[in-house]
Formats: sequence, structure tokens, C-alpha cells
Amino acid sequence: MFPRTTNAIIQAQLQALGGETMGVEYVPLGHMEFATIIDKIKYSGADVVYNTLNGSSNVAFFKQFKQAGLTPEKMLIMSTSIAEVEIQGIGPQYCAGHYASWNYFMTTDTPQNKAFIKAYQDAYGKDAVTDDPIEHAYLNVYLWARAAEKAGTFDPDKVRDAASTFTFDAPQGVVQVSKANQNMSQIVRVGEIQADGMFKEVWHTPKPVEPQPYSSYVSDMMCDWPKGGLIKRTGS
Amino acid sequence: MNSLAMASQFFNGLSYSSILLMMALGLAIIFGLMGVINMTHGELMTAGAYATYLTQLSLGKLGGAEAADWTYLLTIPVAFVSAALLGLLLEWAVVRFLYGRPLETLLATWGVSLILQQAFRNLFGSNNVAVQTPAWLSGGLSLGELELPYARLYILALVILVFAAVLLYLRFTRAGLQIRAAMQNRDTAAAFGISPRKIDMLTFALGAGVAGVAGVALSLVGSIGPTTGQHYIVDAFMVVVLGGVGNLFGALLGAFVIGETHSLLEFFTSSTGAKVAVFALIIFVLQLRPDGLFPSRNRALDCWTHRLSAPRS
Repeated sequence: MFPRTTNAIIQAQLQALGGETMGVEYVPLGHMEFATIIDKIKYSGADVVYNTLNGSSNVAFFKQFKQAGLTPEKMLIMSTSIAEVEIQGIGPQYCAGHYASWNYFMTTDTPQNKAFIKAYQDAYGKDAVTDDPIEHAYLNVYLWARAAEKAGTFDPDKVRDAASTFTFDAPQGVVQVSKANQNMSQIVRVGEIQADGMFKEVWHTPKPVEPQPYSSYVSDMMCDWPKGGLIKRTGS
Repeated sequence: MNSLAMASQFFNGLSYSSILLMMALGLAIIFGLMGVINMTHGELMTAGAYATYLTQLSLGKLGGAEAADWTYLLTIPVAFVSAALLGLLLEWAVVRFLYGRPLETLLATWGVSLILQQAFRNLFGSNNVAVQTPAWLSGGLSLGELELPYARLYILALVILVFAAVLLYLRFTRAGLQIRAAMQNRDTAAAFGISPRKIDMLTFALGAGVAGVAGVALSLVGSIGPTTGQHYIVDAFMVVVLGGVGNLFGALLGAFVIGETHSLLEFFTSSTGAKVAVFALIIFVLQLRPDGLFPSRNRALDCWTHRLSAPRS
């Protein structure tokens, strides 16, 4: 479900920005044979591959991509599910030069991140790497704890109301929970994978992005709990 | 679709066929020559792949990454032997009590496959591990604009070698002769002094070993996890069923037909579309030739039905 929904949103946004989708491919979960798909990519005339693969398929895809002679200069891969941990699993030599997008990289420069990495490596070994999912797992627990402290109770409704009343200094930067849909506003970052398996950030949004439960390019409904839940979209 | 794309797709089909053949060969030996439906075949492949991973890891520790590169060919015999030993253990502990009872064998080996998957999880973790492609297999052969990855060429060469080796073994060695005799008529072969126990163990070990080498090939194209075998076992059975049980050349043709059809169709439709089409093709072929493309006319399979009623002595 994730790839199909995501791909629909991606194609709509691409079109709105003046780009063109040259081809879309889906594979079963855990699929390992990408030779044909890589060939299709080669002969499609595309400039960039947008990769929404998950799990072990990514290892096969990146390996076979490089084995087929494709480099980031010839054909760039932009991924949504490749983080520091996956790069270790695939092998940095297959990923170097390609891009990925997250809210957090291990190289993100905040004092909270430095403390977080130190504590993590103390606990799990100095070769351990942190990535966006790990950071979010850490962050979400502390967010909830702060909200419960503020509410003074474990009651879910009261904690939820308290959760959107403060900003939080996370390893990724400042985040805030949205009152309308209980998601977080965060900075979005795009990074280039380096030969050592770390990300070099090449761009980030100037401010944290407000959460939007469903893309305005694909649907005219939106979610606003204080106004009653699912309502017609107003504004952009 | 231009001719370059066609040629590239043909090669992809060849590569996929070679992987299928390697997986199906071990199964064809065990299923075809012994009538044992071995549901642990996928795990035997995974065992070979893990053995490859461990070999590379140990060689890397002993001599550094370059040593691991140079000695990469060692992974083949290591994988063969590890899988063969595992297969022997399986045969001795479980399968030998169930000869002539195909349904019980299916159930029992299915159970063992679950046990093995969990064992892999306990030993190696549930995350996949990746075998590093050695430096001399990186890159590809450029024929004009056509790019043939060295890793896939290596797998192709490996499969041809293994297939030839198995054929020559069965055709020209004494043990091979005994295996073929037992396959044709077990009781007469026993009367000639061929020990059925030894032959069963040998054949099973051979099939398992070949599965282990298939694991080496698998580790080159993707990552290896506890459930990797499950992903491929259906394909392996399809090849054997299409090709005709008990015939190695049938497995060769079956692998080629399935591999090429899948790759060419995938180019025009999608991965899942191609899979569906290939299934439909197999069903269609089986309607015309229910015993597969090259049915094996040997008495061992006729004896199946006798064995189902009369237990092995």
C-alpha cells in the first residue's frame, strides 16, 4: 500500500512541477530479480529513478544496478527507505552518490544529536549507526513523556491535548506536534550518500514543514480533528 | 523495442534461467531420482548462502578484504560440503523413515524447513546479511553498448559447470551408475549388491550439495535472510514439474522456458504480470503433457504407487 499511494502522490507532484513520469514498476515484497526492471530504466530515457522499495529488495536493486554499469552520474536513484543502517547492509560502495530524503541524518549538526549519538554508541558499540527511524523512536517516547508531564496524567485525551502545546528540541532539530492531526512538523532534508555510508546534507526546508495527512495534489479532503475530522480542504 | 534491448533482455532471461536451473537441479535429483518431495530445499540453498557469507567473513578476518576477494572461489566447495552435510543429517534423521510415503515426507520436511528457518534466525539474526561481491566480479563485459555484468556471467559459468559435473558423475562414475540403477529398479539393484541405504544417502547429499552451490549464486545477486529459501522454492518446483520429474535435461529446458518467458514478458508488462503469465503457461503445458516436457519413463515412479500400499521393509 505504501508504494502505490506514495507513487500516486509523487507522480502528481512531479506533473505539477513540470516533470514527466517515464515508467512505474511494482514488485512483490522480497523480490530479488531486477535485471529486467533495470533494463527498462536504462531504455526509458529517464533522468532519475525514484525508489520506493522497502526491505531486502533494496539490497538486490542497488547491487544489480551497479553491476549493470549504471552510476549516479548516468542515472541517479532517490530513495525513501534507505538510511544509514540499510546502507551498511547493502554496502556503501553500491549507494555512494545516490540521494535519500529524511528528517534526520546521523550527520545532522545539532547539540542534541551529538549527545544522542554518544549515548547510543555507548550503549550499542562505537560502530553503531543512528538513522531516522531510530531517532524517531527515541524522540517519540520523550515527546509522550513531556506531554504526560504537562498534562499531569496518563489519560490519553489529556496527554493528546497537552502534546501540541510545546516545541521540543530533538536530535533532528525543533519539532512540534500539530493540534489538527497529531502529526509532527519537522524539517525535511535531502542528503547524498558518501563513500563512508554517511549522508552529506545537500538541502533542507528553511522551516519545519506543517504535517499534511494526505497530499493536496491527490485529494481534496483533509483532516482537522478540532473541526470534526475528515473535512473538505480549504486553502492549499 | 530496439534490438539492443532485446539482446539485453535475452541475456537477463538466460541469467534468470541459470539461477532457476541451479535451484531446480538439486531438487530434480532428490525429487526425480528418489521420489522424495523435499520442502527443505530452500533452506539447503540458504545454508549454502550463509556458508558463503561465513567463509567470506572468516577469510576477511584472516587476511583482509583482498584475501577474501582472491579466495572467493573457495566458497563453492565450502557451500557444497556444508549443504551436503546438512542434507545428510536431514536424510538420516527424518527422511529415511519415510521412503515410499510421499505425503508424510512432504509434511515432515515442511516441518524441518520451519525449524531450519528459525535456526537461521537464531544463528544469524532476522535481518538479512549481505555477501560482498569480490572486486574481480564487479563491473561488466561491454559488447558495444550491451553491458553483461560479470557477476551474472560468473553464475552462468558456475551453473554450466555444475550441470556438466552432475551429468558426468551420473554417466561415467561407478557411484553414478549405481544411482541410476537404483533409480530404475530399487529391488533389482539391491539384488546386485547395491546398498539402497548408501545410494539414498549419496543421492540426497548430492542434491543438497547442488542446492548449496545455488546458494552461492543467490548470494551474489541479493541479500540472504532466514526466509530467502522460501522465496525461491516455488520457482524450483515449477521448473522440475514443467521439465518432467526425474529428468535433468527436462529441468534444463524447464528452467530455460520459464526464465526466458518471464524476462521477456516482464519487459512488456510487470513483474507480477509476468509471474501470472508464466504460471498460466505452465498449467497450459501440463494440460497437454501432464508428465512434463520430458517425462521420465522409469520403473521407480511406477513403484511409487506400490510403495504407497506396501511399506518399505
